[in-house]
Amino acid sequence: ARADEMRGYAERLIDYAKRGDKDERAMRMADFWLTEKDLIHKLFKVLAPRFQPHAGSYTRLLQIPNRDGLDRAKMAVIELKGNPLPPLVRPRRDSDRTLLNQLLKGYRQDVQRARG
Amino acid sequence: VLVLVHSPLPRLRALLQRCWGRLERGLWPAVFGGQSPPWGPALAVQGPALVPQGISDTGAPSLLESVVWMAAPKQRRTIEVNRCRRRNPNKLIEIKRNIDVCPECGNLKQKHVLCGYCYAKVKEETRLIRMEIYKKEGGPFNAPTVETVVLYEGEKPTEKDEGKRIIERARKRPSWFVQN
Repeated sequence: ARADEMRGYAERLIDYAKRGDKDERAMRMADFWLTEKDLIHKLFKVLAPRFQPHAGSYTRLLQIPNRDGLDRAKMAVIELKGNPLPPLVRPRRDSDRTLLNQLLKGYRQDVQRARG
Repeated sequence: VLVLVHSPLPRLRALLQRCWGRLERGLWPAVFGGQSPPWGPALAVQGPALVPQGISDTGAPSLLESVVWMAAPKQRRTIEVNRCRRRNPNKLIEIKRNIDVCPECGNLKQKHVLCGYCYAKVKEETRLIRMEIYKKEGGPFNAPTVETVVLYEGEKPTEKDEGKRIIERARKRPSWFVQN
């Protein structure tokens, strides 16, 4: 829940940063929210160009297994897309060897043979 | 005070007058003329003035009459009844039907949650990379204003990684970390 809340703040901050370096309001917002002042430079020079082509979601929110301690609390992980760190989830493509895909391939071959 | 009641029946009128007279005598005895003695405050208790405190030879004098009644079970609940209550389906944990096998490592995982083992691997690797970053940066407020690239042993930066700062890790590239 906290990660979800934070996600909104982070995305809005990036939207402000996308406006540009010289924008007065964007600079004031970034200055207020980011307490470590060197991160403001990183925001405007690295993150804004990185997310310029994307229109909306710049973060990925994933759930991890419950905490190991006594409270078994729900845990979640947030990361900015396009980061240099190792990926949390590998996008998997459907393998060609599954039964359904083999049947579809056979069907496609039959149709081509019938056409030709 | 005379009440003028114009009722047609004389008997009813007489009755009303008698009732009214009795009322008057009750409310203002002094006005009437002293036939009933003046009332004054009197003791409400007619019997003995003291509430009985209990016989002195029963137990210690600290016994109080104020008893508080509380609920307590009358009979022991048998083990059969106990079992029925404890094993009633609404008290058991619900069965989960959303458990799958992680395709990477083969551990079990919930469908909407990341695999614990894979996440632990990634977490450890990220921690080591961040330690390298910390060693490179030196101080607390030295975040660079360029992108970062992580290279493992024997890898050279490509043309895409032109202006980025390079973090070296002294191990070979893990199979699950694909280089872009």
